[in-house]
Amino acid sequence: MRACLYKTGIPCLIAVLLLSGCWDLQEIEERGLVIGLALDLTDEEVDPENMETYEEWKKKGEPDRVRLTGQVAVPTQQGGNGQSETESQPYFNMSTVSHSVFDALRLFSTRSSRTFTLDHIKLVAVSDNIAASDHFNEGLLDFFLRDHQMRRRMLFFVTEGEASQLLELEGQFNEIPAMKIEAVSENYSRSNRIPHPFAIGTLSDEIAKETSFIIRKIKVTKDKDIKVAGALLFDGKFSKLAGELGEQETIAYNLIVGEHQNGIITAPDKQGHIAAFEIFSADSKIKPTIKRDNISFDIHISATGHLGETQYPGGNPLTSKYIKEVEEVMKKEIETEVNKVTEKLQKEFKLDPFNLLDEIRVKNYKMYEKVRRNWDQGEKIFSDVPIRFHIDTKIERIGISGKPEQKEG
Amino acid sequence: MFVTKDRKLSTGSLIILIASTLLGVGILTGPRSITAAVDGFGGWIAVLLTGLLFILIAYAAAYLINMFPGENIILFGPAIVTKPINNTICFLYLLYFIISTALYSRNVADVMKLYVLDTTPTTVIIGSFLLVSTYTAVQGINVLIRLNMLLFPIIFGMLGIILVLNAGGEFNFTEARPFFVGDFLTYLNGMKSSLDIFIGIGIIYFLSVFLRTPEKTGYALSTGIIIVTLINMIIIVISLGVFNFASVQNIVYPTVELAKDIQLPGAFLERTESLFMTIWVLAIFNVVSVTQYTVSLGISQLFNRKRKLWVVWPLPIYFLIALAPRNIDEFFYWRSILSYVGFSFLLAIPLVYILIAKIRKVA
Repeated sequence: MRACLYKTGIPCLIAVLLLSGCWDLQEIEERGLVIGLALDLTDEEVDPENMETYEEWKKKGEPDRVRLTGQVAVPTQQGGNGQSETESQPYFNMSTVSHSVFDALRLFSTRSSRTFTLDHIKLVAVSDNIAASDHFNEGLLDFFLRDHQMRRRMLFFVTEGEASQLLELEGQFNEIPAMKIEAVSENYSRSNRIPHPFAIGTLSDEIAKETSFIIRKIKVTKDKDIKVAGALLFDGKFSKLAGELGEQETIAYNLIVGEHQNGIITAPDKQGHIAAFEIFSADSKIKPTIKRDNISFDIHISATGHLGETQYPGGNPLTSKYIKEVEEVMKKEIETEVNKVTEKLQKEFKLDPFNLLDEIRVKNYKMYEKVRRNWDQGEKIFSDVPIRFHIDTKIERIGISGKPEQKEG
Repeated sequence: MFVTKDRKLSTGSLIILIASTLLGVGILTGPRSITAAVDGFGGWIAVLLTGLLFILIAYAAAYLINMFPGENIILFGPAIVTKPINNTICFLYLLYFIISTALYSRNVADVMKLYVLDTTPTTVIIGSFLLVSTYTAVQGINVLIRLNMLLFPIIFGMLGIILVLNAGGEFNFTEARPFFVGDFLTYLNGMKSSLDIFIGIGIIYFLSVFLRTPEKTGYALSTGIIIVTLINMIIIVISLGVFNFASVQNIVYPTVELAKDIQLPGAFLERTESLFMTIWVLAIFNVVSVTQYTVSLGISQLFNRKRKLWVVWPLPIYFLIALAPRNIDEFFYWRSILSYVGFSFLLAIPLVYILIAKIRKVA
């Protein structure tokens, strides 16, 4: 009996001591799930006590400080089991000011009883003045890429004006703003006016690669709602905001890079009636031609879709002749738009967000090594490269009204 | 003198033993260090060439082992290069194993602390890890082989799942191309960084006492090497395609980031990296316990001591060496030095021993 006690009892006790303690234990109720972060530059005072350090920083030529706004989901209140008397928001926002983003994040802990977890961040937004400043390149975003809790899949936005507005939306469904923005940005498959979702991992990839890139633009409207449309163009070398593309230009951009998912192109037909062509699937093939030192590109864009609307007075002459005509019109329309945006990027911005350089790299690595430093930086070879477009449009369906010309039988 | 009667390592289990001993090592940092070494593309060719080189070495080692079936370097060495010299070489080689094993456990602690166990002290992670691996190493070769065979499919499968899900998701084919780029010098540079994936095969000089079929050693070693080469090649290409050639070089543990990037629709599988970390720790656990066993075997033969005790006695040494690198940069520096040391042993032992054995007509 006694031997049994020694043999099993003591090891059990030791095991209890060793196994029960867990350094990394955190109760779920005590956690604050940060789901969105917004970063602004600010000139607010930090804290009266911190004034000295602020002055010291100022002497170092570092007057700007960041304001970090975090959106924290409240898990216990989200379920809402019968606690109708507390009709409180399922989230709260808090905002801190510091020199470093990390410090600002830790300052959250000085204002809340919760321990903050960053595993569930859905989006990171920065204001456009951060994006346009050198701070963007100098590493205000470094923290988001360095911290191990951050996921590369977090969506990244650049907002017009203060980024913190983004977390103060008042939606129709009393949603958590961060969640709402995530849901809205998933709608890109229904609209061609926004570029593909841009995750923070992609951002770090692009910055490392020093290529120009495009981020979708997000705007907070006056009634505290959002609109996602258009795109912001970033300079690859300095990775800072260089310009923006309008909605039509974004459509063209999407078509060129083959990111076009679903969207509508509207143009008048030959008689001047408005027709709307819904693109179901678009594909693009970029073919570089390299002859000695001459680089040129052929970009084949094929768009397939259906005729969604024709504002044709007095019946719809949806004959195959008319369909051909509309196809032709749409082809012209796409061609002009695509050429316009390419012209703008080549001549005005002299930046290559199409990543045409990648195609050169795949095709001819020697040439790539020769031009990579002077592509859309340095000598700007990109702005003089001939780019030819070959567009193919196809209307497969015409909806449920209209009479086909060919008589049956 | 140490003599074993039962030969327990069959060809199949040697393949598994070698594959799982090599698998855990270079897998986390390989894409970064090798891509950085070749400056972009062609890292997979460097790994392939290194794999081929190690197959040659494996056959050389197998040739040496076949000259004295049923013995290992400590037993047949004295006949070739006198006992003092042989014992010195073996002792130094074992010392190398001790240091590299200690650094593996440090690696576990670093990665676990970074991604999963935020507040657990490094010493506790290293300590508990070494205790468990020591416990396994005490048990002997049979248990180790059993464990390796048990864990290998899990590790292999997890890597497979991560690679397939990434290849089907974020993978961008254009970023991974061009495949054939670079000259021999860049490949050579890449090969230098991929040495540490394979240097684990050195354990065979000591474990050869247990070989059931010594004549198939070369085949078994090279099969293990081929498996590991393929996996590493695929990981490099996939991480190039998921990140890009410039970005991979900035990520400390690209493979963990690959695991983190996985997201199935409907948030069905989130935080895959904790799952991956667990399984990677199993892989390193294989490596560490097998090398700990090898060290204890070597010491027991060299000094005629009881093996089981000599798994336990060096534990403080492992622990202290594991804590020695001040930061991750120093750690990687140590690892790179060690990879050259290990490679020199691996290359020199068969060449020198076979040559001298031929000249002196031993065996």
